[in-house]
Amino acid sequence: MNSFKISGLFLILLIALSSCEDPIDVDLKSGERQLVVDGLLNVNDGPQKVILTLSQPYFDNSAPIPVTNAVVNITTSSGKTYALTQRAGQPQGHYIVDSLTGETGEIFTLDVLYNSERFFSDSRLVRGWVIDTLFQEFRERELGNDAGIYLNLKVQDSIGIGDFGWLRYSLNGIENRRPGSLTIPADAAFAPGSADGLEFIFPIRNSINQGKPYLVGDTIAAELISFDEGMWNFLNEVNTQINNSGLFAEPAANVRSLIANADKNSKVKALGSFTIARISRAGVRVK
Amino acid sequence: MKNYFLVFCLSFIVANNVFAQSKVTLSGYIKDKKNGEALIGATVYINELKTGSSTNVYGFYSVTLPKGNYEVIYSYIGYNSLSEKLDLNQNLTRNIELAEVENVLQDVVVTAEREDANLKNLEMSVAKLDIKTITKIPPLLGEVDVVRAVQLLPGVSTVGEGASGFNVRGGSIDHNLILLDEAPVYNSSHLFGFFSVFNPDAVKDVKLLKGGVPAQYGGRLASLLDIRMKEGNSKKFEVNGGIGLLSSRLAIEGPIIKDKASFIVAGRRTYFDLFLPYVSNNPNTRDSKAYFYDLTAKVNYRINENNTVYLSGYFGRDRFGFGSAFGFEWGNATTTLRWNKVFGPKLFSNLTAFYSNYDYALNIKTARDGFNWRSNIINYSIKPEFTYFLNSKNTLVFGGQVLYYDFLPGRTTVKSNGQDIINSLPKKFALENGLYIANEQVVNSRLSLQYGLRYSQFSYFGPGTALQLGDTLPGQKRPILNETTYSARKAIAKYGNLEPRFALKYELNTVSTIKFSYNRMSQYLHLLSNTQASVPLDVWTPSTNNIKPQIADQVALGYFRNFGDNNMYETSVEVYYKDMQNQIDYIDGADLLLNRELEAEILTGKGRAYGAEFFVKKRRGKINGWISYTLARTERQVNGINQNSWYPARFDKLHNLAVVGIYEVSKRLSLSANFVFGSGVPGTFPTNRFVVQGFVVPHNFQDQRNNIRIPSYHRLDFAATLEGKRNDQRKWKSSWTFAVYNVYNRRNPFGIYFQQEPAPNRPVESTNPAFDQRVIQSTATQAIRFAVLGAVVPSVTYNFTF
Repeated sequence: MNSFKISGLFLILLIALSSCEDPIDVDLKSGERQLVVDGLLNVNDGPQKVILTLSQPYFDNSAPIPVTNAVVNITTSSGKTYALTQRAGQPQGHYIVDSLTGETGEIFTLDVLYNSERFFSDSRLVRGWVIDTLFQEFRERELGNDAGIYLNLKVQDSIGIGDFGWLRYSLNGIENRRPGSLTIPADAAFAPGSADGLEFIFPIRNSINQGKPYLVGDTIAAELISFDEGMWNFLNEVNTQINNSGLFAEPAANVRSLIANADKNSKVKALGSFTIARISRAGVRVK
Repeated sequence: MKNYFLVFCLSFIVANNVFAQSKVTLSGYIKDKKNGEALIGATVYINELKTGSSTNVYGFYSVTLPKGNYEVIYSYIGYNSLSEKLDLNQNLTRNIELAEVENVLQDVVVTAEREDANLKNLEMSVAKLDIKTITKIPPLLGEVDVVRAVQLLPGVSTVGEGASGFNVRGGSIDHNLILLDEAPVYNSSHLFGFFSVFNPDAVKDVKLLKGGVPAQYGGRLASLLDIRMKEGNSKKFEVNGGIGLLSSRLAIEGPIIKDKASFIVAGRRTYFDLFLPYVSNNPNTRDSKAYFYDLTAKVNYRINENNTVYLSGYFGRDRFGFGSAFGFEWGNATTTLRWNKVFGPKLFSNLTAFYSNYDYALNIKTARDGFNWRSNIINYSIKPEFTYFLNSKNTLVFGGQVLYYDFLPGRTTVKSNGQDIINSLPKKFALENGLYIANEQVVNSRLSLQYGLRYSQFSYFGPGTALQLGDTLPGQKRPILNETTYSARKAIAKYGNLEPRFALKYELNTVSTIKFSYNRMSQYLHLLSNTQASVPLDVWTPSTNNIKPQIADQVALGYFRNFGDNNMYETSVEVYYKDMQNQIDYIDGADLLLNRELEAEILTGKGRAYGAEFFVKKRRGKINGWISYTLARTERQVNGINQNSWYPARFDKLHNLAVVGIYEVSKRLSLSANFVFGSGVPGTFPTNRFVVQGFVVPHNFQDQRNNIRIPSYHRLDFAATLEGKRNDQRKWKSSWTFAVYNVYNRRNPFGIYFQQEPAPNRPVESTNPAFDQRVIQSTATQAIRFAVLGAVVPSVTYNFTF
């Protein structure tokens, strides 16, 4: 229930008591660099990739260093094997495969060989949600938002606890990746089982809005990615850590990695996530 | 067990009656002459024998002595002593009324006790505050606050400004048993944590026990905060009130039948929200709700010399909302019924029955969508207690308690586009019983002992489902191996603990005393909270087959010395060590709310806390006040956290200093100031960062917990109270209090958080949105200091009484 926000409420209190946030200098020790796996692949589209980089000191604001000397493969429980390779003309550290196919329930295993250490991660291909419709509607002023044109969408969750994913959108070709707007449905709500089998609840449907009305001519593309529970847990923890602040902040904690070392006794660990997903898309141009 | 106990108690009584022929007992109540309030801790001194007794929380005393002629002195600090010659050849009941000393040089009474009570009392590790002192401490936004005052005493700290509750000797906030007229209060905070729920107008006595807790009390590890409400003026009607920036309050008290029955009703409400329509044109602001209120009421009726009944209640609520679309509220309700019965001059009994309820509700509602969430914890209890004044050397206390718990961990209704679904975490039921006996023994004029034993027993029973969990793997949720369903009243888990309690006082001379105490405490109820400050939504849970009871053993040693004329200066040093078992922590990323498999995310381990507390108090004079300094450490060791090594608890503070000064400038004007300093609490800071899906995620390479301290906390507050011109003809009396909180405007950090700088939205690289994972451009990360109060907070309050 980390995604539960009572921000409006705190706002009142915070105004009343004049709390404040400001950047300060903190002296941090840094740890060793670690392999970071960033793999969110789907079976719907063309070229897919896994990005390998290294972690860096917390206040090092340079771009992550790509990992270029790894061997990356994906195998599936139905016996397919895909080799992912870096390609000319594409950024370094991007390991690419032309396409992936699979059946619901099929397990995809990522296998990365890097500096003599083997890492792997399993992910199951899920049944996935489908965006039924994406449509515009006029709303009166409510819940602190001005009157105007907003978007709404209809997604019906299937009965059975355990549907997970990420709902995101782009506006006029600009993708919305603000940390505060990460929306990850579980069943039809924010926590597994709390609204199983319903239509997506309002706060999730409303997450394709930006807190103010859209303008005529705006183009919005929504994307609903469905994946397994492991990836959802990972993103749920990421969501907590990247938005952690205020009176009721949770103690900072490491996001649990989905990447395991094949040698359980090895001290070398990798960070990040890998998952296989299905994608449903819908677009609309505001009239 | 129960039968043996009864026989044991009875044998004491019989034995005493056989041998007590040549002795007589003097007993009765001591009350305030002005308003009939029972005086707690007033002393009865037998001059010839150099011995005496003091009144209990109901104002009752009893002294047994050989027949003879005695001079008996009844006294209470701040009150005129009363002395009388008594020819005691048979048992005698003397109900005494003492009159308050009128306005002697405007001396402020810092403690309402005998001058050297700190030396004479067996109690150690105790912090008492008179309500008059509490009202002198500079308030925040005009609100006089019991819990904030308690935090200025040694051994008591808080995780930060505005945090709910308080921490005592390295315990977490749920380790404090907070009793309002004996009923437990589960959330002692209004406005998240800025104010406490106790209305100062209705509070008579505040006592915090940090160690040496007597056998009468149990159920929490760290402390007992015992708050007693006023009984209400039994002589005449009285109205007290105050108008402040944040809230106004009014208390009415008076006799129902003079000297037999009286009542008090006290209420307060904040009205910040009532002004919103006038200060803002923004309709969203105008529709907002944000307020709290509380109502405290008590009646008492003296049926006859030997029987008195008291009925008291508290009801408080916090509400927040936007129009009809959003609402959030929480509150406590308690009712206590007590019956004091004096069975004879030597046996005093009290029977308490109480009800306590803490609940919260969250409601979001639009035409076709909504979310409703409710949770509560309800208690019913009955608690008989007997005090047997065996002889002048021994006072025996024995009794028991039955406490029934009914938990609703969470019930939600989700409505989405017209359809709805109800999810309810199953209710939980438990019973906690206690049996105890304790004796306070005066061995000789120097040595006194208090020893007792409490047996506590807890059963968690059905209907319910018990999860059987596999072993802990570092960082992983424990696997669920099996689920067993239990029918109604069938025990799922049972625990029992023997809790020995011991205290010793040895007077070295007339001005110095050494005290020692040991106690074992067990706690069957746990507040699950994984946030920096506790949230009103946090859930209390019973011990189950997976969550074991928490146990603490504490030893404390103290040296108490008074200096100056008539014990003008009181000083003490106490050291303590506390060992704790089955301390609760959580796996990284644990979800505590509305989680059916919550127990699988809980880890338990060991805890230890130790420290030294220094206290100097000037009791009287134009300038008085105190300095309190605590040097302390509290740590945990939990397998699966911090690589299984010890780590500081999140409320660990090495240094804690409070200086409180009160200056009586004239009969009308008094000034006060307090300064507090505390080491920064620890936090888990990242060492590294990594990027996935465009998000910059902080990471600690060593997987440490609470590895770095945030900067220290310090603050200075001032207050000035100006009394209205004195006119004895007029009943109306008033005063103004002006206060400034955080005088030098320090932005005390509550926490430090690590964030990526807000970056503009990034353009999509290709037309295939699934292929848009480009190398992330350089993104700046920063450390953000969060200060709850970033400003000077002035306030003004008008107080009146008539």
